[in-house]
Amino acid sequence: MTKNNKSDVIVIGSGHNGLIVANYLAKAGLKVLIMERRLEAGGGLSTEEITVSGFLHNLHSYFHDTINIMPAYADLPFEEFNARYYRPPVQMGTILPDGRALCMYDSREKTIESIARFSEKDAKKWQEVCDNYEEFIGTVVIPALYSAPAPPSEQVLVLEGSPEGMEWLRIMRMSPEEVCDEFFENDVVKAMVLHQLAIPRGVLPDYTGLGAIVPLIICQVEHSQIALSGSHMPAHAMWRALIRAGGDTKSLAHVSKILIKDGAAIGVELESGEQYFAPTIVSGIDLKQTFLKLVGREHLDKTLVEKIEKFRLDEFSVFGVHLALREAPQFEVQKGYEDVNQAFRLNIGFDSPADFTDVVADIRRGRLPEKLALIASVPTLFDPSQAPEGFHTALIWQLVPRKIKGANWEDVDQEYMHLCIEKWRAYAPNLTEKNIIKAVTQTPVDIANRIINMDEGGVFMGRMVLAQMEGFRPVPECAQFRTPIKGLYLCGSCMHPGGGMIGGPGVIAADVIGDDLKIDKWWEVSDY
Amino acid sequence: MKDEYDGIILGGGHNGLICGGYLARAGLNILVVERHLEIGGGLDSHEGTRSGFWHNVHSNNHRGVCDLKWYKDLELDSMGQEYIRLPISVAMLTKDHKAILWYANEPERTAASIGRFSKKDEKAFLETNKKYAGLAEDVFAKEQYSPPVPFEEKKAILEKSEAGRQYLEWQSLSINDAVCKIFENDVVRGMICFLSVIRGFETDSPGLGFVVPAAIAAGVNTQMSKGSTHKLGHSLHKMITLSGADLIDGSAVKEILMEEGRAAGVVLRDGRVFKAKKFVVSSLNPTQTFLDMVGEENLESEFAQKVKNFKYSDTTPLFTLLLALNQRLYWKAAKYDPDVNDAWYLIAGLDGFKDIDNLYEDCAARRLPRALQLLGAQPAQHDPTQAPPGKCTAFWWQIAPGNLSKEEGGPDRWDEIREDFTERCVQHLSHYAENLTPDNIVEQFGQTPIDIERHLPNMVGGDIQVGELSENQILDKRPFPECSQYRTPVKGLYLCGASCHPGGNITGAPGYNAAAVVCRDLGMDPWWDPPEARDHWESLGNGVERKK
Repeated sequence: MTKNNKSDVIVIGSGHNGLIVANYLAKAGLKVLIMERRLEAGGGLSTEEITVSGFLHNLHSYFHDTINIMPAYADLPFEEFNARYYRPPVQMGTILPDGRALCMYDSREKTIESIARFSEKDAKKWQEVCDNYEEFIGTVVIPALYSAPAPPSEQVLVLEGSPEGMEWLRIMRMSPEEVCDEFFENDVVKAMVLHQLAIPRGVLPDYTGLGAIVPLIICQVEHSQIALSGSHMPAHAMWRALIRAGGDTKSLAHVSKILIKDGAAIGVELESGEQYFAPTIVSGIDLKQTFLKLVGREHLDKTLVEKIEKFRLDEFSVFGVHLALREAPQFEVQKGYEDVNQAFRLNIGFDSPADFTDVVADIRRGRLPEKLALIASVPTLFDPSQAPEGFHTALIWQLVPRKIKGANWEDVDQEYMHLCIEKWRAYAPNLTEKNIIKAVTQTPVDIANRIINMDEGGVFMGRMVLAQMEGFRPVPECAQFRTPIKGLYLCGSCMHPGGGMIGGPGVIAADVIGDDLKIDKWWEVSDY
Repeated sequence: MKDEYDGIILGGGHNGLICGGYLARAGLNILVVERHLEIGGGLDSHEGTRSGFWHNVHSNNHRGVCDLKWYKDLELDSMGQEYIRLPISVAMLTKDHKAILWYANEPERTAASIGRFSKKDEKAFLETNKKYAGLAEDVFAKEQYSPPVPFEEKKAILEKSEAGRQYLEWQSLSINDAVCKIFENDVVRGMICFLSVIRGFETDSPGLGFVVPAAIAAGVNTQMSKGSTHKLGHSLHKMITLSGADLIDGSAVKEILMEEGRAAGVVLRDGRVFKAKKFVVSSLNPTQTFLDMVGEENLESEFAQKVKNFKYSDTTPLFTLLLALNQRLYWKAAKYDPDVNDAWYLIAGLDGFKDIDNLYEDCAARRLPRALQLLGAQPAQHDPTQAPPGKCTAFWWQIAPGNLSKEEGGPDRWDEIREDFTERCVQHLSHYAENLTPDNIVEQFGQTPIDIERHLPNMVGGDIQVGELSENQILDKRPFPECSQYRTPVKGLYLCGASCHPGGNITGAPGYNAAAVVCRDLGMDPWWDPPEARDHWESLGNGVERKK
């Protein structure tokens, strides 16, 4: 408990990365205080009853793909404090207009069987990619997600020594789309892989230099899991762990200024005017707010300010539809394709790479995509506790531009919502008006209003392009989690390895701060 | 988390958390199991679909909470909890835009406001306020925070003191009769009576008459939780976490584990099993606790029948209109009395006793109310943190049965009429407000009584009191005589929810009272100091009448 306004560490923002860094440092004996603008902790770990009381809706992160590789989940007492995860056996399903379906399972054999029904050749290739890359990804790629980014030259040095490494470098230089085209012949197979780029990874198919994501998806070193009782539950667990470890959070505490003395951060000031002091300040919020709003230009080098202003927001946002339902939507499927009705992640309307090209083209023109390629899920199939007994919830995500040229979101959201629902209904006839108790939208504007560091609804807090990744995220001067302001660190999604429930920035920040404060690290530092 | 605890608490509403907090701080290993993702039960607030507007969908006014023993014992102030006290508790707006105001702790001003309707009632209010201070503080208030004393014993003690004799005299009446005995004016009668209705009392039931002089004498210490109602849930969450108790949220209890006729733990719906070495305390309702979780096979048939006969109220379920507003509402009645614009609760649609009779008739027939009597407030008017700068929130409650009769379309009809009934409430309200215009409404939505039950299944049919507060289900008869001391016929099983004395609302009393009983049954001395009404009443009898 913080009885006065002095702590060892103040963390700005209680998103999952803020909670992670706070827990590591509190357990190391430091007095840690988190300042959270909202009532609920967790940032994107947000589960709210926005349709009807008793129906839980996960408004932000939902597909938690990295829990099984996240050091923080192993180090911190998540489960001790009641976080629980479930990995649905049918990880993903693409439903096709003719009632066939392609599924990805938690079992490679079954996935390959499913692919073989579309292309024997691709099924073989799938196995081959796994044989070639699985170990490499597990031992080299994953640890790199949880370590401060190495200099570009060092990365190449590690890889160029071996033929596999050289091949990896070659694939890396391509775009995910190009790699899919090289690997596979069947459009449905390609689409199944590309469907997993934007959510949860923030990447679009033509992002050159990120081709290596394709083998990462295929090898399934990451497991797509659902947080039982809602995505917000892990936030409760981390919050309780922090309180027990002697840390504290102050909710409804909107930081308006980082206090700076002689070039060093010494505390924060809240909108209420209250001041809290600590020699170490860790910002879990976005780059622009941290420096341009809270620190202030007057404390920053001109060229750094320019770089920060140039930092590019996500290229796309997400239009969400949240449904309170009487029964779960059931696809009409051909015999033998029933598994798709048990799939965790649903792909509705995205049958070939060309479909994505159309969606992305509209997004880049600032238009509402005409083509509906939905990312959907029915959480209550895997966790009945997210709705009143016997009822269901469902979510729809459609990729959209952050802003629509010549229109306001509040003017178009209802019509677009109905189009999204009709699209699903075309495959699942029981998704009738009668079945829907209530449907509510979350537009990019709603996202930005709820969680203000998701600027303009950019949920990854900075475009996930090569020029803004690793040692270049968010800007080289801050990529090692320290900043030009002494005592000020970053731990948010604007850092390597980026946005989503990865828990990378939090653990790396804890490592870096641990070094600087020379604390006795009780955890094992990830190192590749 | 462990496999075995000293005690397990079912339900993380405020009563369960308070009970758990006291027992954990007594050094016991405690596990609290809450079905919902967010603990707090009725301490529930949602951010609307429009961000920045916080809607308190259940409890709002936490009367006198900061002055309660549990609030101090459990150090909720140091958990970051803050309260805002509201000087004007209620303004009743009449159809012709007059108003009666009830000031929190200024009986003279309240009386003066009543006086504008009836000079006689002004005098009656002041007399009652002075005459029954003892009844209110020494008898009624003490009775809330102590296990109920069996009636015959209580009668014998109370007859020895003036305040006690007053209490017994009024107890024989119904609230309706008590109100009519004190006041003559129909509007005044309607208001005083409706405040008891909204507190969940069955005003036509005998045996509750003492509520009226007690309410008039005690005043109404209206308070709201700063930052939304659910903030108190957070403070209790922090309290329970620091107390060392473990918490399982987001998982419902499927059954209470029985071993050799004793409650020995719980099995959760998700399959997890937790053992309880010493006790299980349920804050759920008797139907859930005994029939769903203990199981009829473990109960005496006579007791099981009593559980089946436990009556849930059709006069406490609420339909709630929730508003996000560009600008706070102003009231036409402010021309009559400007204080109306500063009041907390407002009543719109009640002009006399007859309206309550009609409402009770509709509830008894389990049909939609033919007329509306909305009671509500604008939380963000008094706590700007609950809405974006300059904007406001409002909630309006309409008593309406959740379990509509078959002829009326049954409970499911509520889903169909949600939007229409919401609009009906808005239209009704616009008669009283200066500025309830479409362009002032950012968002409006309705929570039906059935939504309440879906969210909090212990509130059957939306009964927010979790069991009718009528002569046969209050005090030493709540929920049944054999459970009225928070113990049950099932060994090792206790109750601590709103189905116990003194009932629902954010009082913490059932949890507070149960904690002391459990503690003593374990042969431990409570570390806090739980008052015994019995002893206090005896001292009154020994001539220690309060000085006024």
